[in-house]
Amino acid sequence: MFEELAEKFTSIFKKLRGKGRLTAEDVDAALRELRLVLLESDVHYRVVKDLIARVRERAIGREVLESVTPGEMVMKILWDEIRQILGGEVRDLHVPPATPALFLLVGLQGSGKTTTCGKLGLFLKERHYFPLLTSTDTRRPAAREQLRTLAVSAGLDFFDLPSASHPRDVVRAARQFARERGRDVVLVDTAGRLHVEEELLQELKELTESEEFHEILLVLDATTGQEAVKVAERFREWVEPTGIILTKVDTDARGGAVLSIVAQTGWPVKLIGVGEKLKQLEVFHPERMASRILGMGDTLSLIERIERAITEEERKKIEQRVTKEEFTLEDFLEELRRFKQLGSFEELVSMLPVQLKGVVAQVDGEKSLKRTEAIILSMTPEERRNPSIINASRKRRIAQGSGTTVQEVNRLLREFEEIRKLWKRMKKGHALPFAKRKGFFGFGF
Amino acid sequence: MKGLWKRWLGGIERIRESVKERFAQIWSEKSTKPEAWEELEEMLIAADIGPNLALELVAAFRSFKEKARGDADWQKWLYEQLLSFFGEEEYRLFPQAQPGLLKAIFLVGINGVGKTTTAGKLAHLAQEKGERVVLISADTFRAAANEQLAIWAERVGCRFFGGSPGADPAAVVYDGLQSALKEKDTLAIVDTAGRSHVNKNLLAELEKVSRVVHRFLPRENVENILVIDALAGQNAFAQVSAIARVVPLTGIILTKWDSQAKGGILFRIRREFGLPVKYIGVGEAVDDLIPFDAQEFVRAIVF
Repeated sequence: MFEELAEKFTSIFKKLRGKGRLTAEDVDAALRELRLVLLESDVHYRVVKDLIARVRERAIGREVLESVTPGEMVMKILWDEIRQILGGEVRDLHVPPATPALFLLVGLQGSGKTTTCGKLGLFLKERHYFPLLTSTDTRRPAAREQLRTLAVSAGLDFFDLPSASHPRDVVRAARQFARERGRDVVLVDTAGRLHVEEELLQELKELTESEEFHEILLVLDATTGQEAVKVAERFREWVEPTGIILTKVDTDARGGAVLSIVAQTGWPVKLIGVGEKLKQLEVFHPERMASRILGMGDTLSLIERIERAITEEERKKIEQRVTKEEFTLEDFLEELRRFKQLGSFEELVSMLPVQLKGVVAQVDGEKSLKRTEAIILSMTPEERRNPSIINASRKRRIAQGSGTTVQEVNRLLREFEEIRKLWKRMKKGHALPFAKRKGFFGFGF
Repeated sequence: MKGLWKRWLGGIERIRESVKERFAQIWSEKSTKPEAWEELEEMLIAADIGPNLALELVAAFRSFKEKARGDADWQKWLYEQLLSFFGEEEYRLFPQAQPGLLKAIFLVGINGVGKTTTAGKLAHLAQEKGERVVLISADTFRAAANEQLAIWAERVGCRFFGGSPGADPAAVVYDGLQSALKEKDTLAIVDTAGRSHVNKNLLAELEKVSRVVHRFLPRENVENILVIDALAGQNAFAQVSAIARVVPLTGIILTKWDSQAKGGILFRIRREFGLPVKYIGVGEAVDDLIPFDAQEFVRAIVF
């Protein structure tokens, strides 16, 4: 999401980094560029002004001029400011023990409320809740049909009351239904409305007054421009959201709107939608996002995503294997396939730090993944379990079978040997850099 | 129709208020403080025109003011500056269509910008003009996308063609266009799935669908329209760049004008891509789509 922005920041601060000492002029020059970068990223101009002023104040003071690496100091100040705007700490969803808890999703048309509603249901289900989905959207054609389909594909319950004349009735009936069926969270999707449609906002206000909602989540499109702040301000006149779910984070090259809204309202961002699949909803981490903006990458989110791709059962299987057997090429293949399931290669690479990205891009990851897979598939089961039997003639056969060269087969075997060494160390209980992640990071990352 | 124009003009009014007053004020001042120039920049940036264009426009205005003599007319100057972003006959669809052949409008854009709604409205407009319309849904991914477009078809009173969920969109479009030929429709409107412009595979799929359309019809009979949300910021620019690489875009429709967003991104897209703006969506009702007239638009802002 913030990739382009991050790259720009990196280049700006390279200029600063080369210096031993920083003058006020240096800082000003960098901040001028910074202003344009932030504006180009759709951060609201007032927020940009504030941010620049604050960083300048802190940067031109003694703090920076006397420190050893002034450039890094400015970067840290900026990171700090952005992180603070984004909320400092991780803020979790509040699911009260009330049965059932009521969550309301509100937002503009096309911000992704219905999809997010489905995603949130799955998200809660994965955390051992029993959500019930319902929709009060009678305006957009097939809106409820969409939610029903999503619910079915996520294995969730959907409640509909076509005869309802007011959203209030739907919510009341859904709550009753949930109570009877032992569902503990009711997710209410609403019709999209513009921040200027007072009648609809009034309806929303009445709804929130008639029922006690434990979370009112504003679903916000990350691609929104300067108008984002006004949208938030106008919504606030009618309902007070308890948090934001930022959507389309994967589409957005920049995404400054979220910085603007949080700066303006103080509403915490709780979750982010990072793709069109139902699983692609993640917890929002201000620190990570701030790091990402500044080109430090988002390796933590990557790790989390990897962990989610491993089911509990698979994890046990892997653990057993670690204690008993050797790590074989078959396991390697399995890991490889799981890696591919995580998302597109590009998507994964986008989470790496900028410095690393160049290296990975050169290798042309997607292709080499496929070749590696082809090589392993061209081996016999025996060879996969015991690669030491692979002699020159076997190598030639494998290369031919996979459409690669003997050199490539050699390289794979070499890499695999490295991984196996790591694996053995891990078995002995040595901590690895990513000890808990098992094979994934042996695999080139 | 009256309400429609009111909403359209209401939108312009919002821009006029800030633009005209600020420019007029600076023009009347003997010497302008640096902060005032910066504020002018910020006003333009707040309209999503983009920082570079804003800086450029303000710098041009500044030098115009400094060189200006007594009878110089800043309104005329600004009118020409802004109008230079647009071309002639912005709003006409199919300016050179071969008569007697099927025409197709191919709608692309990211999720939630209003493609399906726009497809419905376009169908309505075309039906009014006597076209035989078929609405084709190539969105086999989003849940209930088919149903949504089918309901629009029913409202408008035109034919609907959709594929089963998960089907190859290119195949659906192929079949849809075949059926249009068979049924002697005159216009096919193809709604596509919202695509994220960073996802290579999705863009490749879009390219494939677009190729199918072009295989059926001569270039002049196809409009590849990018649908953009007026609320979008500079990010919209990235969208156009990515999509323009795979689909030969021929125009833009700006939606959600009734959101009170100023849609300044239009100027930037218009300049860097030369894509004409065809229509503006001003509401959720079936006839809430009005042709874009650049001259009228700019005149209303400046004068």
